[in-house]
Amino acid sequence: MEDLIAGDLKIQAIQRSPTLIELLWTGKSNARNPTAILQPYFSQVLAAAMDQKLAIELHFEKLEHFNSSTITAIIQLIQEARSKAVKLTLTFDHGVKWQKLSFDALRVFSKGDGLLEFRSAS
Amino acid sequence: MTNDARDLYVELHIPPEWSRIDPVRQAVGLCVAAVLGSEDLRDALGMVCAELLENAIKYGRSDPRGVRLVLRQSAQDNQKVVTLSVINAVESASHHLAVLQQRIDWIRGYDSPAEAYMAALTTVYERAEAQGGEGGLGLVRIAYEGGCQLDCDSPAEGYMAVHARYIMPSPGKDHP
Repeated sequence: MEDLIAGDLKIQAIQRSPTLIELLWTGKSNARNPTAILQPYFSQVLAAAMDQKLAIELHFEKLEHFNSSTITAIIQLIQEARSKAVKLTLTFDHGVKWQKLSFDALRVFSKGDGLLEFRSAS
Repeated sequence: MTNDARDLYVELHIPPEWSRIDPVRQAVGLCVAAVLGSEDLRDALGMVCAELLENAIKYGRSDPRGVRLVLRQSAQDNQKVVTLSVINAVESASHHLAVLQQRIDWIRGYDSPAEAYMAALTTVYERAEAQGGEGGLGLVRIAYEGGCQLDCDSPAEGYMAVHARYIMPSPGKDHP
């Protein structure tokens, strides 16, 4: 899987194990239309995950800022991953208040099906 | 930047270009951190600034004076209030002010900004399930994550202003 570099945002794709792909977000996601950038990338990641039976971990701990349109793109990923039965884990820094508030709110999409998990790190 | 009446007063006129938003977000955040000494508030009001500027640039009208941003601290009922206002020109036929007021009223209809935010997230999820589309999370995120009260008005014909007010918690108390 290739990395994504778009404006102030970098998403580094790392595969350390045969069952997991990690996406490390750094910088800032502040594009006018992040969905146009992120959705095609997420589609590639999801296709690879389905093909190779991988779970996906998104790491936001080092991300400085994202705009609300990025949250929309992440929600679309959650929806699409669930529809394809791909397990998604979102990891954030609970010591950073904006991350704690943003990602704790997204727990509303946890449905007890094991397909969406949250991990807080500090 | 600072005078006897206020600890914090910053006014900027910004060209309505997307690339200007992030430097202003950082500048507002740093001013807040410098005066109020809170990293959480730096991030929160920086985010509020960026969301308001995004809306102003997306939905505003081109104006040689640019988008005006005012960050100020004042006192209200013995509490410190930090207000971030963004003022921009709009087309005379624009319904944006009415749409914003509706959205603010919608947020106020919930018992808490957190409840409103959860409802907005769910709407985005359901829309994604259907066909995608705009999120509409900006204002409700300002209320929830930014901890701000929102108002909007028209300060002059052809202009609209959105005000986000953050009430500083009294010492020893968490923010509501």
